[in-house]
Amino acid sequence: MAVGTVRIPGRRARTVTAVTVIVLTAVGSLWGTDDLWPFAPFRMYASASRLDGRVLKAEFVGQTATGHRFTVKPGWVGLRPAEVEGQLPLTRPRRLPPGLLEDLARSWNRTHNRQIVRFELHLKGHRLKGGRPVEPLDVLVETWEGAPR
Amino acid sequence: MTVDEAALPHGDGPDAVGGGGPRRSVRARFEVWWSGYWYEPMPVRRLDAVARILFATIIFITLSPDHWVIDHGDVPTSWYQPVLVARILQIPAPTPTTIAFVQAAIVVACALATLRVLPRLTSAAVFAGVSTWIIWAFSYGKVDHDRLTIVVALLALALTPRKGPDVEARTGWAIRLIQVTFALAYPFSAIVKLQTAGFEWANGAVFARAIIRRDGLLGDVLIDYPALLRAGQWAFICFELFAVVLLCRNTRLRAVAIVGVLGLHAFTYATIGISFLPHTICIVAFFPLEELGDGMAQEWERLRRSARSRSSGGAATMAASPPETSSGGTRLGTD
Repeated sequence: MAVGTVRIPGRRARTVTAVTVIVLTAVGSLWGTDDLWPFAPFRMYASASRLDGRVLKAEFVGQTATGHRFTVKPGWVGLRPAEVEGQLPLTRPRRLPPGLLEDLARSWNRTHNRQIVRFELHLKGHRLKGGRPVEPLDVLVETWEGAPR
Repeated sequence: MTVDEAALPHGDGPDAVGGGGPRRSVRARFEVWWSGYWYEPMPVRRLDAVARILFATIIFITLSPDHWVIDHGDVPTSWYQPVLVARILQIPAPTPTTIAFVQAAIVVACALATLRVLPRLTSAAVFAGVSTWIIWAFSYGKVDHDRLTIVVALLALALTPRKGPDVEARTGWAIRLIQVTFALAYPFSAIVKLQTAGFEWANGAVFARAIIRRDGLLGDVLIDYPALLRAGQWAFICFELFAVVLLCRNTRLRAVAIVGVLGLHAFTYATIGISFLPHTICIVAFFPLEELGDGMAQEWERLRRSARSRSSGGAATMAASPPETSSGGTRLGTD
C-alpha cells in the first residue's frame, strides 16, 4: 500500500517534531551554549590547543592537621575534572565562585575520617613543545583553610 | 513497494499536484521527496530490534559507565548549576536517595520497555527517566555532546506505536529521525570546531591534550608522534564533514560513512578512552536488524531440524544395531 494513499495518523505532528529537532540542533550548534542542552553545541574538545601550550587538569590536595598532604581526585568528591574546570571563569583571576571550595572541603570532612584543615585546587599537567609533553606543571589555583569537623 | 510509490502525497500523484506550473511542480516534487524520505515504510520488527538494543545499552550505561552521575548526589548543592531545561522544570539538585531512585526507575522501565508491551508508555517512562538522569549529569559545569541522539531516539520510540494504520510508515519516520539526528552530530561537531578554533584545531595539539588528560591504550604510544596526531586531526575533521552523507539514502555512500564512523569511534576509544556509547549505539538504526533476526531464526530452525534428524537417525541406527554387551563396550539403551 502506498503511504500517501492513506492518511498517516499524526503525520503533521511527526513532521513538526522532525523539523523542530533539526532546527534546534542546528541553531543550538551554531549559536547556542551548553545551557541549552539537549540542543547545546557539540563542543567536546572543540577548542584549539597550541602546539607550544599547556595541558592542565583539575585536582585537589588535602592537608591534615599533622601536615600530611595527599591528592584528592575530583571523582573522590563526586565531580569530574572537567566539571571543576567548568566552574572556573575563562578570564583571570581564574578562581572558583566564593564558597565552592569550602563547601567541598567541609563535605569531605563530614564523610571521611581523615580530617583536612587545608584544601587546595590545583591545575596539573604538562607544558607542550611542538605538540609533545616536555615539562610537568602544577599551578595552585586557590586554597581553603579551616577547622576540621 | 518502492520509495516512489510510498512517496505519493495523499492520493495525488505528481501530475495532479504539479499541474499549476513550474513553481507548483517544484513544490510537488519536494512533497514527494519529503514523504519518501520521512515516511519510507520500514518493518516494525526493525524498530523493535533497535529499541531493545537501546534499552539494554541504557541499562548498561546507567549502571556502569555513568557511575559518576550517582556521585553527584553527594556533591554540595552550591556546585549545582542547573541547565536551562532544569531551571524551567524547577528540577532541584539530586540527593543520594533521589538519584538512586531515578537510576532504579530507568533500569526497571528499560526492562519493561524491552518486552515491547505498551511500547509508547514504557518508552516515555524511559525517556523521562533518562532525561532527568542526564540533566543531573550535566548540571555541574560540564555538558557532554554524546546524549542528544539517544534522547531523540527515546522520544521517537515514545511517539511510535507498533500497530495501527500505516504503522510501517510511522516506523520509518522514527528510524529516519534517529538516523538524521545521529548523522547531524558529525558535521555540526566539525562546524563548531571550525567556528571555535578555525583551522588551528586541526593544526594544533588537540589530540595530545586529550591523550594527556585521559588514559588510553593507544594514546600513550601516539603522544610521541605529534605530526601523526596532526594528520589524524585533519582526517578526523574532514571525515566529520563527510559524514553528512549518512543523511542520504544512497546505500554505498552510507556504507562508506558507517564504516568510517565505526573506525572513528574505535580510534577515539583506543586513544583517549571515550566511547560516546549513548550516541554510537544509535548507529544500529542504519541496519536492517529484522533480517538479522530472520537469519538467526532460520539458522536456529536449521540447527533444530538437523539435531532432530540426527537423533531420529541415531534412534534408527540403534534400532538396527545388535544390542551391546555390558562387558567392555559402550552400554546403550539399558540404563
